[in-house]
This record gives sequence, C-alpha cells and structure tokens, in this order.
Amino acid sequence: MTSQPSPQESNAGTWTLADKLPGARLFANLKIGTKLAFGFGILVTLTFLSAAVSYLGSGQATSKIERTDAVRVPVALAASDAQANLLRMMANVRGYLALGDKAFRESYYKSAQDFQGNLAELDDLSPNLDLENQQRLQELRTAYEDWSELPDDLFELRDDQLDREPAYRLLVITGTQHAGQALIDINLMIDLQGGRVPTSEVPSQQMQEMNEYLSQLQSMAKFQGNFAGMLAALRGYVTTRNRVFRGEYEDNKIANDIAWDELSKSRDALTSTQRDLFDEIADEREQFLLLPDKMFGILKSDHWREDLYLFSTQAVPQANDMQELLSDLVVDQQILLTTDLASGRQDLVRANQLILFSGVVALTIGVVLAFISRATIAGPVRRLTAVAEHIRAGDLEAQARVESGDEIGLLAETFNRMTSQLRQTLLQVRKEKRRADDLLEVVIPIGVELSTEKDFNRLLEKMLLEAQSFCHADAGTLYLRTEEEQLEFVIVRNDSRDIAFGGTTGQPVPFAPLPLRDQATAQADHCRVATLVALNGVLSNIPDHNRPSDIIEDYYVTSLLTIPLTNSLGEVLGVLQLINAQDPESKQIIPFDQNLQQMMESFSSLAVAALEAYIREQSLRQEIQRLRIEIDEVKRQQQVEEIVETDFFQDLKVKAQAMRRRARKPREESDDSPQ
Amino acid sequence: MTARNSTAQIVSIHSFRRGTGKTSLAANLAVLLAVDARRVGVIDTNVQSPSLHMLFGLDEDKISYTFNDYLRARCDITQSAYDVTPNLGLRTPTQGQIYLIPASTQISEITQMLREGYDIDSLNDGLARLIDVLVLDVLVVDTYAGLNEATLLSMAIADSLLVVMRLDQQDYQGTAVIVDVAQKLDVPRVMLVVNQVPKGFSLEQVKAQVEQTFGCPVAALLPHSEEMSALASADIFVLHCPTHPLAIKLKQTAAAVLLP
Repeated sequence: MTSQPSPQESNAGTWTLADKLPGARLFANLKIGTKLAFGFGILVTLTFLSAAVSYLGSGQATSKIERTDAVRVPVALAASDAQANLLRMMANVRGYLALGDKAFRESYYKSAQDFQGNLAELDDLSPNLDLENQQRLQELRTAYEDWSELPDDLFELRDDQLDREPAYRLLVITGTQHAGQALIDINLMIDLQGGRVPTSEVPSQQMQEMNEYLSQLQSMAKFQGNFAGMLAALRGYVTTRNRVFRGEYEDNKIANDIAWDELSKSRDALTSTQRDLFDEIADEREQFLLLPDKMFGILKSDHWREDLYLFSTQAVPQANDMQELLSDLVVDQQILLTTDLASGRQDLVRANQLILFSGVVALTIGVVLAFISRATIAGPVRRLTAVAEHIRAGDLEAQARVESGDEIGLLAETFNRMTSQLRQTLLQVRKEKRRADDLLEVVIPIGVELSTEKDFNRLLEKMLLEAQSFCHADAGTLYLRTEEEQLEFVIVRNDSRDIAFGGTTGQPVPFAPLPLRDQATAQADHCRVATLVALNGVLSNIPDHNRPSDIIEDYYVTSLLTIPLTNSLGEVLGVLQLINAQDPESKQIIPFDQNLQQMMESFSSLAVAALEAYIREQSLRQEIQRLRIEIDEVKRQQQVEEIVETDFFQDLKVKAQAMRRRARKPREESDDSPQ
Repeated sequence: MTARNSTAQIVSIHSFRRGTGKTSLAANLAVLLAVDARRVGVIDTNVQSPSLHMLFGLDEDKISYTFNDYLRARCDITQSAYDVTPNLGLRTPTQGQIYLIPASTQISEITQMLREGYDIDSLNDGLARLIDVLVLDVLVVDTYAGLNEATLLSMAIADSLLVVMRLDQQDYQGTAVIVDVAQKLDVPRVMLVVNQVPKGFSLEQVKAQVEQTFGCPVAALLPHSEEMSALASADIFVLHCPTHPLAIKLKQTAAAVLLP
C-alpha cells in the first residue's frame, strides 16, 4: 500500500506527518471524510465545551448573585430593620421607664410588632442561610422570646412605684409603719404631756415640774418635728434622690438624736404611759433608724429603681445580645454578600478566562488541524498534481507517492497504475507506429511488387528473397501445400552455403515433400517445425533451435522463424521459413525480434494475397483448360444420320421447307419490316 | 397449311436433357419481350411435364382448355390462350401482351400425348392461328427435352431455335446431334445457349470452345445464379431481380434472339 520514496521523485525532501509521528500512520490511513469529521469534531467539541464552561461559570455567578438578591440582601435588610426596631423598642421602654408617657408604651408595642415582623421575615429566609446563621437566628428567637416578657414586667414595675423603688417601699411600708407609730406615739405623748399636771403641791416644785414638763414637751416636740422632718426628708430623698433631702435628713437626724437623747434622759420623769410610749417609740425609732441606711444603701445602689435595674441588668444586655446577633447576622450577610459578589465576579472572570483559554486552544487546534489537513490532504493533492504535470509533460516514469490509506492514497495508486498503463500503451503505440512505418515503407511496396508479378516462379522466389532480405536471414525455404497433403519444397535458399533451388534458378528442388499428416508428433528437426506450423496455422519463432539442418549438410540452425501462409478462409496454403537471422553489421546470428516477427506476419498476409490471386488465376486457367468437350464425332455423325435418314424427318423437312417458303412470300411482299 | 403472319417469329426452345433451364429461359425471354412492348405468346408443348403455367401464376382450376385440348381438336387454339399479362404484376403497364397456352397436367392426357404424339400440320395451323388472332409479334415455344418426333416438329416450325445446354459431359453428345439435325432441317437460325455456367470459367474461352466444337453460334452464356435457383418455378426471375447481372444478360439474349 505505501511506497518508499524513490530517488527520482521530484517531491523527495518534503515530509509528511506519517513519517514523523507514530500514531499518525493510523490517522493517515483514515478516509478523508473521517479525518475532516475528526478535526471538525474536535473543534466542535471544544466550542461546545467552552460554551458549556462559560454557561456553567456564569450560571454559578448568576446563582450567587441571585442568592445575594434572594437571601443576603433581604436577610441583611430584615436584620437591620430588626436592629432598628429593637433600638426603638429599647428607646420606648427606656422612655416609658423614664417618663412614664403612655405614648412610649404605644410606640413600644408598635416597634415590638415590627420587630416580630422582621423575625418572621428572617424565619422565612432562614432555610437559605448557613448553619451558623440559622443557629444565630434560633438564638435570636429564643432570646427574644425570653426578652419579650421583660418590657411588660418593666412597665408593670414602672407603674408600681412601690415595686419599682425598694427604698420607697421600705420607707412607705416599713418606714411609715414604724415612723408613723412613733409619730403617733410621740403625738400621744405630747398630748399626755399636755395634760400633765404637776404632782407636787409645792408651787415652786410645781414650777419646776412644769418647767420640766415643758422641757420634756420641748424635747418631745423637737423629737416629733425632727422625726417628721426625717421622715419627710427621707421621703423627699427617696423620691427625688436629691442630696438636699439627704442633708435635711441628716440635719433632722442629728436634731432628732439630740432630741431623743434629751428625751431619754427625762424618761424617768415621764408617766408610765409615756414611758410605755417611750419604749414603743424607742422601739419604733430603732426599727425605723435601721431603715435609712438601708434606704441609702438602696438609693445609692442600682436597685434604687428596680425597673431600671431590671432594665439595665436584663433588658439591656439581652437586647444587646440580640442586637449583636442581629448585627452579626447583618455583618455576616454583608460579608457573605460581598464574598458572593466577589466570588461571582471571580466566577465570571474565571469563566471569561476559560472562554478565552478555550478560544485560544480552539484556535490553536484549528491551526494545527489546518496544518494537518494541509499536510494530509492539500499536500498530497498538490504533490499528486505535480506528478500529473510531469506526466503531462511527457515523463512517464514519474511515480506518485502513496502517502496514506485514504482516498488520496487510493488516487495516487490509481495514478501510478494509470501511468504504467500509459507507458505500456505508449510503448504499444510506438511499436505499432514502428510496425506501421515498416509496413508502409518496406512490406507494402514488396506486397505491391508481389501482386504484379505474373510469373509464378518469380513470384514465389521474390516472396522468399524479400523476406530473407529484410530479416537479414541467412537461409530460407518456401513450401507450398499440395493436394496430397504434403509440404512441397518450392524455393530453397542458403546464402552462406551458396545454395539456391527452385524459382528462376531452373534447379529442381532435390528434397522430398514433407508429409503433413502423421508427422505431427515425430522427430525434432526444422522441417518438422514447418509441418507443425502448416497444420496448426500458428507462427513459430524459435530463437534457440540449435540443431543441425537435415536437408543441408554441415549447417546449424539457431534461430528459426516459421510463418504459415494462411488465406482468408483460414486454409494454410504454404509455409515460409526463415533461418538464422543476422545482425546486419556484425553478421552474428541473432533471434528474429518482435518487430521482425510482426513485419513478417504482415508480409505473409500480403504474400498470401498475391499467391491466392495467382492461384485463382491459375486455377481458372486450369479449369478452362480442363473444359474439354469430348464429343465422339463419329458417333455424332452416326446419330445424326440415323435421325435424318428417317422418313419422318424427310417428310418434316419437306413440309418445313414448304411452310417457310410460304411464310417468306408474304414477308417479301410486305415491306414494312426491314430485311 | 395456313400462311403465317409474315412479321411474326416463332422461337423454339430445345434441349437434349432435362433440367437445363429451358422453361425458365422461355418464360423470362417471353416476359422480357412483352415488357419491350411486344405481343408475345408462350406455348407449353412440354406435354411431359408442363410447368409454364406455374411460372406465370396461372392456377390449374382457371385453365379450361389446354394445348392438349387443341391437339385433340376439342377446342380452338385461341380458347386455350390465356392473357397472363396482369399476372406479371408489372408496376408500369406495358403496351405488350403475353398469352400463355398451357399444357395439361393431367396424367391421362400426358400419357396419351406421349403415346400418340401429334402432327406438324395441326401444330403449324395452331400456331399460325394464334399468331393471327392474337396478333402476336413473337411466339415462344417451350418443348420438352430430348430428340423425338414432337420436338422435331417444334424445331421444324421455328424461325429461331435456341438449344439450351450446360457444361456437363452428359449434355455434349446429344446437343451436338440436335444442332446438326436442326441445321439439316434448315432451321433459319440455330443458336446455342450455355446455361448455368459455373464460376471460374472464362466466358470468352467457353464461348469459343463451344462454337468451335458444336459448329454453332452461341447466343448467350448464362452464368449460374443462386438467386435464380432459389426462385425456381416460383416466379419469373427478370421480374423478381430486374437489375441482376443475369437478368441483364437475359435481356441481351432476348434482343439477340429476334431476327433483325
């Protein structure tokens, strides 16, 4: 199938892929259609792949962007909104706690609702979030659930002063209780004191007693006043936390302490009831005096307002936690949004890069394929065309190189077959032309000569001599087939032995005719060749007969050309035999070549024609000569006489004569018809 | 004996042996003469094996009277004459005419005729009458082979005698005798026609040889024709193949046959 580049090739030096790459041979043997399909297939696949990649890439980017749109932003917005609402809620709660304005409460509930709305939104979006954020949301929800109770508690607390201000409650409940009792008691005591009369009758003692009673009353009144002042100051302080009241209290307390001291000193001078009261007051006072420190302590501490305390210790942190969660959520979403967008952008960038890359790859492959197809298709075609040009220009030795197993390779093979065919045809044509030339210049003139030859002997002789002459044959024999089925030696010539029989020599041929019939398989001698040829009518050209002649002494037959003289009906009229062709210059004995053989074939047909014509004429002449009309004249006369001498005849003759005479007369008389 | 029309000619066709082509020669010559605007009569005296009627396409059932009938005095000879001009199938009508007087094909008639023969007077009268009544220019008489009284009669009444022979040894002796006898009978013109000459013979030489041997001029040497043999008795050759070399030869013969 594939031919090796031969040195005479004009396209030696160009390489084909097949020579370089290992697997390329396999590729080269595919059909062109397959190759192209393969190449285009690759390109199409690449295009498809790059399209798919870009599609996927942009798809990914789009989904990320969608996520942004569908999740991140709403979540962030909802969370931010929630944050804002939470702040509002806190503000409202704080506002209410601070000012107690109902509007804040209204506002709070509204904000709370909004906030819940936000939470609901976030819940809806929750499935789209990652686990962390989902957990956050969960936490938020839980936190809010916990926290949402607080505001109401706070509001309740705020509304209830006693609950909300422990110091106040302490004052109002315990303080007032004790202080009240003390004040009642002191009041009672004062009343009692007012009703006290001096016990002694002594007016001076009585004056002393009254002064005592007055100073006791003074102490009691001071005590009452201070105590009330303390209480009032405490009240003021507890409710306003103004330091002025604290100062007032302290002042009062000091005064009260002094007053109590004084009173305590005069306890004995009191009535029993008063003393009971005093004890009670002492008790109450003691109880009561425990309170201010507590109260001050409370007032100093965070707990001075329980609602605020609760607010700041519970609501605020929790709210802060929630804020944080929300904030985290927002931030997270924002981050994710950013990262999503970034990664989306990256995806797009990557997709673009991929497209670019695959585009470049496709381009490269396209170029490579173009080269390959050029090498495997266009290249061979070009080389083939070049070879065709060579052939057209006349170089029939040009060979097309079979480079592959595809249609072009097939074409190249066909080309080569065609050119070899052409070469053969050309050779044939040249041979024919040579033959035609020979015929025209040599054989036909001889043929013409032969046909005009009137003398038979000369005709036959000429046939042999002319044949001998242009074959440069040393010797030759002309045989004619006889009626007795023999080949008669008619003309015999041998130049080197100077032998000439028959023809115009006048010398009779001393050789016996060759019987045709039962010699068909016998001895091998050149005469036998003649009979064989005569029998089967097929020309025989033996280049190496190499046997001695058995009609001529001391003569060796090397090359032998035996031609049957066959007429148009296929009958062999005779045999022309030429012996030992010679090279015209060297006189060496050579075989009778193809060209000579063909010339002789043509010559023989001309010779046969001449011979036949001659024979025909001869046979005609022979026939006519054979037309011998044999008449026995004697018998003729006899027979005639027999008839003529009959009576019948004689009568008839007479009658006939008479008839004729009579007939002639009218004829002579009429002169229309010319005589 | 009646005198004949002076310008009319009687041409008798004889041969020594059968199968020399006499009848077809007679028919062809007659047709050629008719086509040449002559009024021709053809009489089949070959009572032995009549065949002229076949050549002229005359059905036997159309034949009421034959030559035999005339000779037996059963009819006037003109009654046995049939105008066969239409039968020729000529494309261009001719001014000539051709009448056929057939012989009987009946075996009884034949045998009787052969046995009894007929005489010269009746023959001559008959022929003269034919010529007269039908105003014939030529009367062609076809006889049967051999030399006998009947054929001698036909010879005697003839103006021109054509003796047909072939280049066959068996013909030669007899033909020579006929020729001699005819000459002795003072037949005005005696000519030989060498029929069916095979290929390969020089006609010149044959003619010379024949004339020399028989002492009689040769009117024509007709070469053997395959076509004519194939045609046989089916049709008249010169009508069938008018441009055949043989037909042309026959034309020449017809012209030569008539006395100037």
